[in-house]
This record gives sequence, C-alpha cells and structure tokens, in this order.
Amino acid sequence: MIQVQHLRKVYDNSLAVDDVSFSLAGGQICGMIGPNGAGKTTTMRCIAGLLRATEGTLSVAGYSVSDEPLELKRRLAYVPDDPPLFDDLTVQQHLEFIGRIYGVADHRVKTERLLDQFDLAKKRDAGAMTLSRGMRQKLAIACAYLYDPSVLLLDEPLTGLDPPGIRTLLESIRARADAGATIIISSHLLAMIEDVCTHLLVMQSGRVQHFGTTAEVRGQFPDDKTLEAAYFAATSQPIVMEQRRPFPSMDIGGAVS
Amino acid sequence: MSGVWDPWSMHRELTRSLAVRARFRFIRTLHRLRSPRRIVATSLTILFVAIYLANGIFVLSSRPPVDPERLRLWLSGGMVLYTVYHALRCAWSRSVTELETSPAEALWLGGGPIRRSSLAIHHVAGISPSTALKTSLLAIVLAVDVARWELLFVGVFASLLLLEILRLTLARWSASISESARLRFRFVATAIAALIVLQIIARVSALTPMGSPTEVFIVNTFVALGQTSASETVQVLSFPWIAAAQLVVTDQYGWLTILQAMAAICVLPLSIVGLVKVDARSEESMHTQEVQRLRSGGLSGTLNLVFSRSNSAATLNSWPFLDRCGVSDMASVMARQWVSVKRYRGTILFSFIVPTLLCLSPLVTGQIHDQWLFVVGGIGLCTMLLAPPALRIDFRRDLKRMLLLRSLPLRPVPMVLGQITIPVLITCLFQWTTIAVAAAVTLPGWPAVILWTGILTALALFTFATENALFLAYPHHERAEGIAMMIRAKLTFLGKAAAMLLALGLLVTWATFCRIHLPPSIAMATLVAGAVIVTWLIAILAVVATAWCWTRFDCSYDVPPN
Repeated sequence: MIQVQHLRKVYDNSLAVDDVSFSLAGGQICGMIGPNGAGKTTTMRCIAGLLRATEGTLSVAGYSVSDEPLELKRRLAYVPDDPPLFDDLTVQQHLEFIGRIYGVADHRVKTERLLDQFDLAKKRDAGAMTLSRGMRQKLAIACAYLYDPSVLLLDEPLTGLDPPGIRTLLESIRARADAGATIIISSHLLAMIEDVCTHLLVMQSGRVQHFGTTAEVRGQFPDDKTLEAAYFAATSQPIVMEQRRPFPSMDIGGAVS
Repeated sequence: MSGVWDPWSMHRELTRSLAVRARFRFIRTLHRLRSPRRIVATSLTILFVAIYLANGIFVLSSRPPVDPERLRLWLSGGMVLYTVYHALRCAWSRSVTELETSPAEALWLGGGPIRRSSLAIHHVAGISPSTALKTSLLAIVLAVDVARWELLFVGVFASLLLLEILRLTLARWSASISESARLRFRFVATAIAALIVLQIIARVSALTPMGSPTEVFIVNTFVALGQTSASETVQVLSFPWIAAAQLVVTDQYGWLTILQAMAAICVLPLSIVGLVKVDARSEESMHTQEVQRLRSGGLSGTLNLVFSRSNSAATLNSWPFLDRCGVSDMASVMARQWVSVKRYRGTILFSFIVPTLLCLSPLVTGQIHDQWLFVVGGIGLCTMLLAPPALRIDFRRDLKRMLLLRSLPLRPVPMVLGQITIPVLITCLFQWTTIAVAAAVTLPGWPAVILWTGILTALALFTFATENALFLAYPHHERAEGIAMMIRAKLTFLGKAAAMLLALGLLVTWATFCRIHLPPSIAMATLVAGAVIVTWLIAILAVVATAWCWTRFDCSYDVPPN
C-alpha cells in the first residue's frame, strides 16, 4: 500500500531525509519513531504529496506521488502535529467542507457519527479558534476519517488528547487497519503505541536506523524489556553504513508481514 | 478535463467554502466591533467612514472634474508604477510562501484532491471582496471625474485585481529563481525603479525654477509623477490595463464599450492562466535546484542544522554597562532585538538611505532661509511615517510569541523599553546624521541644533511608544491585509498628522510667548529647554501608556484570528 524507495529531501543546504526506503501493506500499522529532527515529519509530508521529494520513488495505493498526485490524495489522509484549521469555519463546517471536497456521498451521516465518536457533538457550532489543542486534534482526525482513506499518516496524533480521546483514537486506528487501511503513526509516546503497531520504523538524522515488524526490531535488542528501552538502544548507536543494511522485511518488492 | 484544470464542481465547492468563511468572518467582525475592549477603535472607524463618505459626497463632488484623458493615462500608468514597486519588493525579499495560502489551506486544500490551478483561482477569488471594497473607496474619490460610475467600478476593480494577480505571479516566480538570477533580477528591478525616480527628479527640475519655495517642489513632484505615468514608455508597458482605463472614462454606451468591458474582464482569466503556468514552472525550477544542490554535495545533515559560530545571529550580545545600571532584564530583550538588526542590517540601511536623501533634498533648492526648517520637518515626517513600518523590531512582530513574552519575569516598563529602544536608537542615528549634514550646510546655530535634536529624539521615542501602544490595544497579524488594515492605516496616518500639527502649533505658541514675555538674554535658552523638556515628558508619558497597554494586553481576548 505504501512504497518508499530511496527517498531524499533537501531543505536549503541540509539533507533532511537521506535514502529512506520501506514498504507497508494493507492492514499494517507502523510506528515511526525517532528523536526530534530525525526526518519523520518530512518523510510523511513527502508521502502525502505536500512536499516534493528531491529524489526517490513514492507510491500509495498503487499511485505514484509524482505522476498521479490527485488519485493518491483521494486515498490518503495526513494529520500533522497541532493541525492548522480554518479559523473562519465551525467544527461542523470543517467536516462538511472536507466531505464536499472529497465527494463523500453520505458525509452528513458520517459527520454525525464522527462527532459522536470523538466527543465533538457539543462543539459542532463552535469556531475552530475556540477549540482546545486536543479538540483541534480530534477534529482534524475526524476530518481525515470522513472519506475513509486507505492510507493514514498521523503525526503525533496523541499529543493533547485526553485519556478517553487516546483510547478512542487507538481503537479507531486498530479498526481501520482491520478494515484494510495502512497507517503510519509518528509518536514519542512509545508505551501508548507499542501495543497497536505491527511495524516499527526507527529514524535518526534523516536515515532509517531500523525497520521491520515490532518483534524483529525488538529482537535486535533482546536485553531491553520495553519499547522505550529498545528505542534508546537503537537511537544511541552511531549511524554507520553497516547499520543501514535493510532488514529482510525491507525488501521493497515483497509484502511485509 | 485537462491535466491542469479541475472540473467545475470543484470550483463550485471551493467558492461555496469561500462564501461560508466570508459569512463567518462578517459575523465575527460584527462581534468584535461591538466588543467593549474595542469600542474606541470602532467609534473611530465609524467616524472615519462617515467623514470619508461625507467628504466624497459634499466636497469631492464639487471639485472640477479631471480631464478624462489624463485620468485614463494616470490609471493605466499608475498600475505600471505599482508593478515596478512590487517587482522591487519581490527582488529584495525572500518570501517563499506558495500562492500565499494559509497553513490550513496548505494542509486541507494542498493535501486534498485539488489541482494547483484551483488553488490559484481560489486565492484570487478570496481577495476579490477586499479588492471590491478598495474599489468602492477609490470610486468615491473619482466619481466626479467620470460619466458612468458603474463602468468606473468595473474598470478600477479589474485594474486592481490584475495588479494583485501580477504581484502574486512575480512573488511566485522570484521565490524559485537561482541566486545568480536573483542578482540579475535585483539589478534590473532596481535599475528600472532608479530610472523612474531619475525621470521624476528631472521633470521636477524642469518644472521648477531654482530658488522656488519648497512647497512648489512638492506640488511639482506630484505633477511629475503624473507625467511619468503618462509617458510613452510607461503607457506601452501598461497595455494589460489599457482597456480597463478606457472603460473608466467612457461616457456613452456602445459596441466599443462592450468590447472594452470584455477586454478588461478577459485579461483577468488570462492573467490567472499566466499565474498557473508560472507556478508550475517555479515548482519545477525549485525541484531542479534541490536536485542540483543534492548532487553537488556539501549538504549538512540534520544534526548539523545549527548556526555556525561565524553566523552573526549565533550568540546574543551582552552590554555590561546596562547590566551595571541594573537594567539587565531590559538589556536581555534588547540583545534579542539586536540579533534581528544584525540579520537585516542591509535592508535597514537601505530603508534609511532614501529618507535621508529626501530630507536633505531641500538643501539643493537654492533657498537659504527655510532650508533648515524643511530638513527638520522632513526628518519629523520620516520619523513618524517611515521609521515605524521600516523598523518592526518590537511588539508588532511578536503577536505569535505574546504568551512567551508574558511569561518572562520582566516588569512592564523594562519590557517596553527593551522592545523599542533599538528601533528608537536606529531612528536617532538617522536623525543625527541628517541634522549634522544639514547643520554643516545651513549653519542654523547651536540653539537650533540642540532644540531640534532634542525634540526629534523625543519624537522618535514617542512615535515607537505610541505605535506599540496602538498595536497592544488593537493588535493585528504581521502580514494582515484587507479593508480593516487599510482603514487602520488611514486612521493612524490622520492621527499622526494631527499630532504633528498640534505639536507644531504648540511650539510656535511657545516660541512667541518666549519672544514677547521673556528678556532676550534668557528667551532662547528658555525656548529650547522648555520645548525639549515638554516633548521628552510627552515621550515618557507615551512609554508609560505603552507599559499600561502591555499590562492590559490579554492573550485570550486580544489576539485576533488569522
């Protein structure tokens, strides 16, 4: 569903993402983890078609980012950290706008369901400016869910959410993956995403440090009991070419399971 | 549908969203106008609109109409001069905002199944209402000069919107050019602007005999500006606006009118097509440059994305003298402002060279008795009108960081002084340099030099304090545009003009009083001391008022929507 081959992205005079490759199939949930400035957000934005990759091949649901961006965007949703919202639309108007732009036939019904699911029904007529950080996050996720994308890119989606909101979100992520969607979650709350992820992509300094199933990556650090401990072990290693050898599951051609 | 344009249904949905958003903003504006915290601004706005309309209906309508041919040339040529101005700004700025979309638009529209051509059309459609309002204000002024006000509206609206699309196109193109191309663009744009300025100066010189009073030079500058707009070269360049300008002065309907209206309107979609093509090429060009940078090597990794020690912005300055004076908190804020001054030193220097030359220009008029007063008058005007927009290194750039500033352990007065001292000192440097040159040429005497240096320095402090007090009372976003900003700018200008006239009146009164009622031996010293002390007291009061506005500022109420 997502195929990234040799992605590189240049900002001004710095290389933000360097030779990133991985692939994910339908139904898989990948936790994208790494320190601040590792290139996670840039990678997501390149996959979403919001940034043009300097080099590399990216495709989503069989559509190339460079050749068929519109078809790709119809099937993909990207929710950034602290998502910007239209300060001149209400909560309900946001959902209605997205429903119309994406041509969702039954968007009013879905809107009601999502407003209830994310506890936004009481805020339906509130302007986006008046929402708290967590509410804005919930609204952006609801907008993303509205058109049932087959690929979801969630950048720090748990930040700002209350505990019920986190539970709702994680449950909904599992449900969407069960329905066949591919999901990438970038988060620093490792304990929260540990249970939900089938795969892990560890990035550091714009490069892939480790990629594979959760068990494979954890298996690289058998002495570390938690994902957090494994993360510290993985990101404390210096980046050398040998460590960037692809895992067996990074074979672009084959499905990763 | 081709690969460049979206189907009509997409434009319908985008237009619908614009209408919904406009309705939301209108209701929100009404709420904000009724807010007790903004009652003074609301009252002034209503007063301004009423006076503007009354002036248009009762005063401007009674003036003799301008020759239609002159109006036509002025309209089309004026747009060319504006385009040159925008080109100059694009050449010297480094804005990389794509199609000037907001962050929300960039995410939800840029990330949605929408072609970039639709984003361009969406943006142009979004600025149309504010262009219509600007057109209305201009139409009130020009109504007496034309026979058909509806054609005036269509012509001016099409001209202004075309100017805006061209500005956007220039900005998009200039954001994607290489460094060498940027240097060439800067050279060409600056050369064209310089040639226009030289032409205006030459015309003023031809129109005004040496030794004429300075006000004749000022009047003739406007005449020269009009002549330059009407010149053959400028008119050749103004061909996109010719139909609209002709439409404005049309007095009878006919087939030609329909053709002119069609041409004036059709140029808008054509310019949008141009914008879309430039946007596509810019995107490709930026990508090519990225690839070249990647292949040329020498890129730093993300871990090295820090300022080098040699970068002028790498460290904050410290001023031990200020620390010893017990104002280390204020000095810390100033140190941050100083970083920006070092970073933008070229732009700041450029911004003050032109006012300096303008202020010194009366020295070449050949008149001796009023040169000094015109120079200091020019310095006063530049201090009040040009310095604040040129030096926005104070609260006005910090709206997004107000919470952070609020959390700093600084008392209000040190915070205000820390924010405004650097721009005030830069303005003073400009004033003192100009005064020194003028004094060396005109020899006005030490009392005059001390008097005006003291007054103008206080004026600089007063200006920046007042500008910041206004901002804190009625804040706005850094790049805010639209009708509200236009009314705000006009109100501020009128307020400044009134303050200057009042100050001048008081100074003349005080000088008369000193001359009549005081012995000649102490009259001059009293005049100088009194005027300087009073202006400094007013400036200090302005700082205290700004500190009060800072204390009153409430992030939850006062930060305006984007």
